[in-house]
Amino acid sequence: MELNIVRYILIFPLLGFLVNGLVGKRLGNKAVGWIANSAVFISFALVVYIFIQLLSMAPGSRLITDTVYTWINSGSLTIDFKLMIDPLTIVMLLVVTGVGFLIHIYSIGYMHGDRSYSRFFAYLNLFMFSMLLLVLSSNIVLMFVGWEGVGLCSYLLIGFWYEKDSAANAGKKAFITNRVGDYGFLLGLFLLASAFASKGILTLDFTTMAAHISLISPQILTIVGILLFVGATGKSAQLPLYVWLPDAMEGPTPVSALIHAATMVTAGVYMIARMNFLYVLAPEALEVVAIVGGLTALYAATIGLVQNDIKRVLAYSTISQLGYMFVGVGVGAFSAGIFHLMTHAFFKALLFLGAGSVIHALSGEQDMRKMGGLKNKIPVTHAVFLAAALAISGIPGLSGFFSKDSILAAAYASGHTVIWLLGFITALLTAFYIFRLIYMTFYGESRLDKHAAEHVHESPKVMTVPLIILAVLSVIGGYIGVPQLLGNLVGWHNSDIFVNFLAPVFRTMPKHEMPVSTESWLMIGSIAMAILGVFFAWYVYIKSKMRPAEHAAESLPGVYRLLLNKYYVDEVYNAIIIKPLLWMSENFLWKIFDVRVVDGTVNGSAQVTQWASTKLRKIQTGDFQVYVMLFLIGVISVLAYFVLR
Amino acid sequence: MSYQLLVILSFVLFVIGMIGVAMRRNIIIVLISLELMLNAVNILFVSASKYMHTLDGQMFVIMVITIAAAETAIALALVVKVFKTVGMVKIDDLKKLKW
Amino acid sequence: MHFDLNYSAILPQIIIGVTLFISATIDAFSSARKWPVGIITLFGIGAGISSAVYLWGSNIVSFSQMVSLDEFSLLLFITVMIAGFITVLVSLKYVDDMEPDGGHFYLLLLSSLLGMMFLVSATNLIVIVLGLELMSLSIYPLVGFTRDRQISLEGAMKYLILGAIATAFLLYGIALIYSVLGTTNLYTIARILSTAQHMTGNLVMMAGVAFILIGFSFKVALVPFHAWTPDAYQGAPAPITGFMAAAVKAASFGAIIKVVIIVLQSFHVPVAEALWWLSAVTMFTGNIIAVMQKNVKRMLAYSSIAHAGYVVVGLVSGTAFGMSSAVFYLLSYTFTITGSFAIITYLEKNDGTGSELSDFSGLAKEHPILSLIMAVFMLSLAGIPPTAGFMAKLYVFSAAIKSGYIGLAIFGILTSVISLYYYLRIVYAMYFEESEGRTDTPVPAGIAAGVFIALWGVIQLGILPSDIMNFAMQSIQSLIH
Repeated sequence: MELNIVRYILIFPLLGFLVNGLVGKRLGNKAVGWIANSAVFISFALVVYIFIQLLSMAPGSRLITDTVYTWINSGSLTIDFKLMIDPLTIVMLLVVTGVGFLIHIYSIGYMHGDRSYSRFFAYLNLFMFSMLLLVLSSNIVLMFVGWEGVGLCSYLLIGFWYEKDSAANAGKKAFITNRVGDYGFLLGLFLLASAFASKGILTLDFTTMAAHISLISPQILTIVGILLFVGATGKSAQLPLYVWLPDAMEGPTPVSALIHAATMVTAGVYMIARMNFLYVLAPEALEVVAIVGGLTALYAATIGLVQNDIKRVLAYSTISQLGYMFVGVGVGAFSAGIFHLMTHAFFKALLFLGAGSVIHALSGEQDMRKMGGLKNKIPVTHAVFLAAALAISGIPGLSGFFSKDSILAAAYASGHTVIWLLGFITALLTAFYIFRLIYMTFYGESRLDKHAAEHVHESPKVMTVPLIILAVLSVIGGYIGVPQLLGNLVGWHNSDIFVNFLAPVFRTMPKHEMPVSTESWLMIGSIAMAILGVFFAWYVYIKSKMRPAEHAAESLPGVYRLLLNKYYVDEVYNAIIIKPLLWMSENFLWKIFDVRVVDGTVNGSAQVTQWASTKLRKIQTGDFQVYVMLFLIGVISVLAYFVLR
Repeated sequence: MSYQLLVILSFVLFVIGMIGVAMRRNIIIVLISLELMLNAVNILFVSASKYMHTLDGQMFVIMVITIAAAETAIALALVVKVFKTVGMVKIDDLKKLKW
Repeated sequence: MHFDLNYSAILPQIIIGVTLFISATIDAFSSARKWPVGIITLFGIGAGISSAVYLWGSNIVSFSQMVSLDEFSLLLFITVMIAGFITVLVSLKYVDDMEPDGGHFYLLLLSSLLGMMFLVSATNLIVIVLGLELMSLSIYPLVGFTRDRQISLEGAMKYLILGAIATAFLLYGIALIYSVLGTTNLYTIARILSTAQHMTGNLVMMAGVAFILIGFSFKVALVPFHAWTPDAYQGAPAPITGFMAAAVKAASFGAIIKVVIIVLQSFHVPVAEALWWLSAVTMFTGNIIAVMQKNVKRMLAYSSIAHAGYVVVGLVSGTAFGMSSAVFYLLSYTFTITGSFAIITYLEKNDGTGSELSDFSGLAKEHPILSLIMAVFMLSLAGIPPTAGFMAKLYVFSAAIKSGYIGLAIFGILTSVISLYYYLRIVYAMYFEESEGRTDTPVPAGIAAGVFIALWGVIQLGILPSDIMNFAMQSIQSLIH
């Protein structure tokens, strides 16, 4: 079905960006906030409207398109500026605009008083535009435009406080790391385009590609799949390109919540789900996705155990949870991966915004060692934080439980036992580090600075209300995807609404059935892990007042230091990639190539041009008779050319 | 006079006019030389019209005469303005715009 | 020969002619301030554009096969009328400031528009010459419009005499072709040439084609027939410079496409080779000389020479796509250059100064939006995405590459890199240099409106080029039949 209002989902955030970016300074902060928020709200309302439209259509034919115009038509390749909404898109749209809107509201309070208020909202709206373009695009080239757009916005917003060196550097790091990934993505895209072109298919539309994917040999599909996944590891912060995400916490907290937790970093998962028709035919590539996802999940969780900066814990947690999502799509359970993407967007955005609220209350303090005992001073924040923590730990009944469990079940069922084990252990670690965070921040005795302690205050309504809404979503968000196993217990047929809703979008892998008893045991196992993790955290940080932690750090100094320093990955990258590159660029590229060759050429050509210009303009003497002579020279040459040739 | 001779005549006139435009400095003389060039065109048209037995060429001549008149009128108006501001009608005195 | 007088074939021309008549009447009876005449002119041109849009798709040949109304002429009508519209908008205040009793500005502009329209819709060489002369004879006085500026008069004088020489060459070329083929009707010429053999061996014919090419090359300012351009452009009032660069160029290129490329198609090989050289020399000379210019009007004059070279790149290929890309280029250039000169008009002072590079220094501080738009225009001229100029260059170069003229395309790209240097100098001056005390007057509404229309065009063609390119394709198709 063709529906022309789809484009307006994009237009309003773009307008918001233009207005706030061009004249935001003059409008005043209040108007800027209103414009940015209403732009996103209108998009959200449109998305909801389209969602209702979509629901009213037959399940198999839920597809809405909007061709804005033919973007590139170079004869051999036709690419339309065409938007497409199917169940997968609408889930992403609801998450992006819904969570995005809440975070926009929150930002009004959080950024209150910032010097660059209008710039912040302009960027945020530009981000919304790019993210929505990424999600809405109906072909992979347009998607790449959005993909690059969100990367740009991420860079701009990480380095938002560019006066701070660390922020500027973090922005650069994110940008460069993402470039590495994008390089892979582009290579994959070119390969895919040429593979299709050789079969006479001159468009990169998802539906067209899906229809003709079987024309292309599996080897090429595997290579394309891996290359595209390289792009995803960059954007979605997976091994080995995850290094930028922890540093990205230099940006304002709403940015961390929106871009680096809820939406942009999930773009890689979305891309793989969108390209499911390709990955299903390239099982080796999918295997790589699952392995990298599983390793990343465990790896990042271990680092999260010992971090002391409240936002960094959450950053590593995000990487770890993204790993889960990749496990989900990697074992072919695309819906489970997207389901976790959605619930994660709720509770992780909540965690970040809650952390923002804590930081706000403590006048900018981010070190958990200087927190503690905040439970009664900021009760609302505490309550919502607890809800999110329970959700992410996988405590039964909350959203995270359902989504994480369906991923683990799918991994086990498809025979990826090792990957399942990685995820299973990660579940324990997740519960531990998140409750470590809770206990260190909200419980125990206060370790606040005197100065900070005096100013502790609950955040304003404009910040707490979005928190409460997100808390509600984190709690109940999982009930649209209740595993059939549990549904049967209460006599609820088709309880897995989410999977059924997305089913038409995805090509299915060969189904692996497993006995009900196994599934039950798996579920009980993960519940036990979650509770165990919470208990350990309680034991270590409340019961024994951190002594075991200190003890462990002392008795295993090597491990502790390894974890605290994040496995020295930054140092290793520094030593084996950045240092040699710098050396190369300084000693060869700069001193020899740049100074001698490039500068020489550039300056030289500029000088030659100027010299030529100075000489050549002398032809134009101002003397009329010289002009006539020039004219006659032209006449004679043209005439001679014509007559004598 | 044969057709060939007429063509040659028109060509010679055209070249003379061209040389006049290129060499003379007095704007009035330059304009007269231009007239010469246009009339060379007219001769070619008329003779070709006679040779080809079509009337288009003669029609064209009337148009060319009209154009030439209009052109001269505007040129002379400009010359008057130039004379009033610069005080000369020599083309090489107009050298303010260059390079 | 029977007389078919289908007046709808010249409906847009009639509208402009009637507007000319009404404006002249109002001018005669109005006081010293002439902006009401300008408003009437605006309405007339607006009606002309609407009629052209309304007539889109029609194909009428009438007046004894003297004029034809097809999509090609309509698209060029729209192009030149947009240029005229923006120019009049921009000049509303300018004219009253420069010349008391300057209503003839609008009248001359209208009559030159009329000339251009006959030039591009003509199907007979006689009408082409008449249109060309009506256009040129109206432009000469406009160049010398400000009667007390010596440079204005100088530019007009040089332009007029050189223009007259070019006309003489064009006429001589036509006469030569007539003496061989015995007709001046384009359809008949095309028919004779398509059946005749060995026409390229006929020296008289070849000389005729060469002379016609020379005559038109002068009008679009290809090197070495460009010498008048810098002087006339610098001397002319700023809005007129924009109008010349946009409309005169577009109309003359329209005539080139029609006569030289399509009707004289059997001469494609020598014409293409000659155009190849002309284009290369033009792109090179225009861009190189522009580098060291201090006066922005003169800089843009050289730049417009270079741009003519780029349009020719599209023509060299001789394919329908190449010609369509040239038409697209003309439209995109029209928006960009009229917009740029609208801003220069704002800066130009009564005595003709104010368009030096130093006059742009620090403009961004006082007029951030105006400067931003000027920067966009400069980027469009330089061919940086996402502007019209980029798409236009992309189209002409890809047309050249598709027809195998890879060397020319690479050369063109290289010269456009050079051009970036001087376009960015204007941007640099606006943003990074300190202003030297400018008397700050508000931007007149007319100029603001003109600038925004031009900006809209630049962005529209830069982001949504396909539609316009389709129109250009259709227009060329309408001509080929």
